[in-house]
Amino acid sequence: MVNGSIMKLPEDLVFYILLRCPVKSLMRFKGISKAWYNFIQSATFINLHLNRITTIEDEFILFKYSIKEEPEEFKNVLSFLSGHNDALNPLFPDIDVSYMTSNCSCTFFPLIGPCNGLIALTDSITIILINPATRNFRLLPPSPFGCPKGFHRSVEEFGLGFDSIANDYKVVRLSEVFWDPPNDYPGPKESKVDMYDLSIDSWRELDYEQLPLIYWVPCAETFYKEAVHWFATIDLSMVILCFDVCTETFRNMKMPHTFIFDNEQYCGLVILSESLTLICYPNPISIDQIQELTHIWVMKEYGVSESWILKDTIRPPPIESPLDVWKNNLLLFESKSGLLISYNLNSDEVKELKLNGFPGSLSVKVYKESLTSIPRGLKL
Amino acid sequence: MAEASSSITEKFFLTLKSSDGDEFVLEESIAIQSITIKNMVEDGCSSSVIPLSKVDTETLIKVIEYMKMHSSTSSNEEEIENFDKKFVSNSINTILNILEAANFLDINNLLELCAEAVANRIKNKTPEAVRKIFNITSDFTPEEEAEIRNETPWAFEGNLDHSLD
Repeated sequence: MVNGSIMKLPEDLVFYILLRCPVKSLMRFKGISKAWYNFIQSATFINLHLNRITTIEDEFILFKYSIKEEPEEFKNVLSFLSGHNDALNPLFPDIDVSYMTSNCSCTFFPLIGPCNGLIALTDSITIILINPATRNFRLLPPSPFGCPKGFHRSVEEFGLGFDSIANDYKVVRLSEVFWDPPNDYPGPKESKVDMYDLSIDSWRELDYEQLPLIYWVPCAETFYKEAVHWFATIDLSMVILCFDVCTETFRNMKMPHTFIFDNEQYCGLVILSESLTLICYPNPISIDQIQELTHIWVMKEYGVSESWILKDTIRPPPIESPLDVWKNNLLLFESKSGLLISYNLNSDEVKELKLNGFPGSLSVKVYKESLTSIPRGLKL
Repeated sequence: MAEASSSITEKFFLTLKSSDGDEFVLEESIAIQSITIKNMVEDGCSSSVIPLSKVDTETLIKVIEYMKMHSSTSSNEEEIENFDKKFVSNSINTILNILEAANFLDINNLLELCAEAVANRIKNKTPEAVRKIFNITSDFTPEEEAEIRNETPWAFEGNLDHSLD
């Protein structure tokens, strides 16, 4: 160009610039030259891009909702959104998830993840792993582990995590198997854990003693500090059940000691300002429609149950379920009528985000885009 | 140097020489934001002129401007922010030159500022425009290029920027 001042830039400077580019640009820049193509595809670059410094501006949202089509039939839809100035805009057209047509009103499980930019969705049998940024997905093979005749296997929870030692993504499935004959009382429940490894594309069963009983709530599964977290109960008290993805071991963490486990309140787990955060909201089933208090607890020092502190007490409109935290201060939740609402934890401002679905069917995952590849993946 | 009486430490000055042969006198405390220069000072190479054979005059002026703003105790955060904003509005050629100089001089903040600026400027550009800016010749056949385009057609959608700046 002018003055011929443009030089071939040293490779490490190109690296430096590309690390700061969004995934969409990188996908386009793969066509620049073979060197750039290999560079952007390389495991080293993908890993550095994953660990780059990001801001709240780099957050995207995957939104799942269901629409009632027939009296007993639901259509499940995924929306891919980006947010500017607190408004959500579609990144590309919605996707109708035809792999999963659920005919029960509970629709399917909430979205699972995110973990390094990957998110999974499931109807408890089929699991789809998605990287919304690269628009790759893969239908995972179903778990071969069922149960003997006369028994019932109830899938209680899923988890998605990254094993940094094996350098592999894992999907874990927690089930309870019990004797359930048509004309007799059900037998005692036995825990079963099976796991899918993405690199070898197969399921295996893990051997465990009895686990605490899973306490299913819509907003629990959270991958944080190399472990997946859910709620469970032991001797009528609630705990946070943690599964360490690298060592494949379970442990429990206590709830805040003033927390009372009763029918009055429900809990949700989210990450707020990089800390594990507990949202205790009024039981949505209770008939009372008055605005009641929601408590937000932050675990200051991860794994130390004495470090729970009550960060905030808020009075949002009646919550069906908390969903996630966006931009570090917007608590996203589903209202009782199935609307997506944001509650600003700094200003207490409540905003309807003009997105809705069948009540109880909303799920939201705030994620940071990554180049994480899904082996044998397909294009969305 | 009368004003320096308030301070016990004496001010030292360094002379930097660009690849075009122009010399610039700069306070040592400002110049050592460059780790490369700092190391030279510590090694005792600073008594004479410091030759910066990889930095031309135009670029060196910009780099000195940046170092002065970022070391001066009188400039507040807002001033620095405005300065940086204006700084990265230079032509992309200039920023790329500064980026290389920042890399050679080892000024981390400046390197990051420029890398971020270049990324922002190229993120919506076509591969053709990026090739020209970086002076790269494509080694793909048209078929191979079409195939890559086909892998992620959505990455080529939208209002792409063809400009070279």
